[in-house]
Amino acid sequence: MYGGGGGHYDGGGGGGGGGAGNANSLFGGGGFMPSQSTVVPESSGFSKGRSAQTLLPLTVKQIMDAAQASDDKSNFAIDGVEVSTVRLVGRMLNKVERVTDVQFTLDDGTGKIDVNRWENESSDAKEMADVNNRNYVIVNGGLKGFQGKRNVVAYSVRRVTDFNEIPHHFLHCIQVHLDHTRPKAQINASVATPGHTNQVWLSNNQAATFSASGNAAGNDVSKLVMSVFHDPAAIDREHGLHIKDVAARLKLPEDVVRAVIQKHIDQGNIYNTIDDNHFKSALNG
Amino acid sequence: MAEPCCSPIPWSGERIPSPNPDLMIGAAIPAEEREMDTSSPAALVNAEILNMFVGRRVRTVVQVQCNEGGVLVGQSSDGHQLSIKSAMDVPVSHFMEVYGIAENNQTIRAEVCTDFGPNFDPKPFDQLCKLASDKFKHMFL
Repeated sequence: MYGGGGGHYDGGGGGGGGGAGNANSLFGGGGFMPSQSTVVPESSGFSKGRSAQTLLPLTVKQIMDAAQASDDKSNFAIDGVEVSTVRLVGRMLNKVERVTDVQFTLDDGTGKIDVNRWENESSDAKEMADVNNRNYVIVNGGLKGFQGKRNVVAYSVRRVTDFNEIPHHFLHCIQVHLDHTRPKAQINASVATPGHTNQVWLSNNQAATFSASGNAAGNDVSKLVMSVFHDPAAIDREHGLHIKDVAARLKLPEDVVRAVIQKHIDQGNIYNTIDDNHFKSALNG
Repeated sequence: MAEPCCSPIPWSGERIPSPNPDLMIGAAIPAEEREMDTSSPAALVNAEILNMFVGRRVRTVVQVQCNEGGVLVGQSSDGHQLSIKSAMDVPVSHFMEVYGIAENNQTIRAEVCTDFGPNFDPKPFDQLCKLASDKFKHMFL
C-alpha cells in the first residue's frame, strides 16, 4: 500500500523500528511499523529513545489534541508515546512555492495543519512539482511545535495514486492507537493479576494433574513459577534458572514445572537460554 | 448502464466541464466555484451512519451509478443508494469521494468530489466508517 514494504502489522508492543538517521531511505520503500521490534543495526541513537523516532500514522485531530510534553524543544506525547516523526494522509491546500521551500496546508478531514518542505536537492523540487492543490498526498515528516502552533516539516510528500491508501491510513491510525492504549496486561496479567486466562488454558491441558487439589491450583502454579523467575537473584543470573532448581524451589514434580514453563514460553513470558533446561523471564530483564 | 437510473430533478447550476474523465482520476474538482468550507471536520460515513449527521459535514465514498441533471446517484459502501447534489462528472462504476453537507439521510450536497477510479475496495472504508463514528470518534471528530 504505502510502497509495499511492511505488510504485516503485528500487534506485539515492541520497541521502535529504525532511527531517524536512516529514516529517509525507508520512506521510499514504505513500511516500517511502530510495533515492529526489529532493530535496524546501524541505528545508534539510543540516547534519544527509540520510540520517539518511529514513524507514527496519525490524524491531524490527534496532533491537535496532543499534549506538549515539555516546553523545551518540541516534544509531543500522543497516547503516552513520544512523537516526533509522523505520517499524515490528506488533501493539499494553499500550496505556496518559494525559492527554497514549499509550504502548504494539509487537510485530512479531521483537521488542518501547516506543512513545510525544504527543497535541498533537485529531486525534492521535482517531488513537490508533482503534487498540487486538492491532490491527496502522503506526508512523512517531523512534528514541530512552537508557542502552541503545530506544524510538520516534511521529509517526503507523495501523491496518492491508489486511493485504498486513504482508508488504510486511517485504519492504521486506529490500529496504532489501540496498540498504544491497550493495557499492557496481555503479558503481565499472567503474573500480576490472577487472570482467568491462566485458568482457561491450564484447565484445558495439563491441569488434569492439579484438578484434584482444587480449581485455583492451576493459577497458583503458573504464578509461582513466574515468581521464581522474577526473584531478583534469578533475574541477575545470565543463563537464567535450571528447571531442576525451579522444581526444587517449588517442591513440585519436574514434569509439572516443565509443562507450566512450556505454556509460559508459548505465551512469550519465558524463553530458553543456553540449553533446553535453562530458562529466563522475558518480562523484566 | 445506458438506462437512466435516476429521475431528472430540476437544477439550474452549471455542470463542471470535464474533457476526459479517464485522465482525471484523482483530480479533485470543486463542485461549485465558491470557497469550500473546510473549517469543520468531516465525519466519515456510510449510508447508515449518514443518518446521524444530517445537517453536518460528512465525507463518504460512493460507486457512481448514474449522473443526471446534476444529481448523481451512487451506491454507498454499505449497499444503499445515495444522491449527491452538484457532484462533478465521474464515469459510471468509478468510485467517487464526496465531502459535503448531509441534507437528509440519503442526500449529500457536494463541496468537493474526487474521482477514486474504478479500483477501490469499499469494504475497508465501510469498516473504517463504523470505527470512526463509534469507538474511535475522538480520533476523527
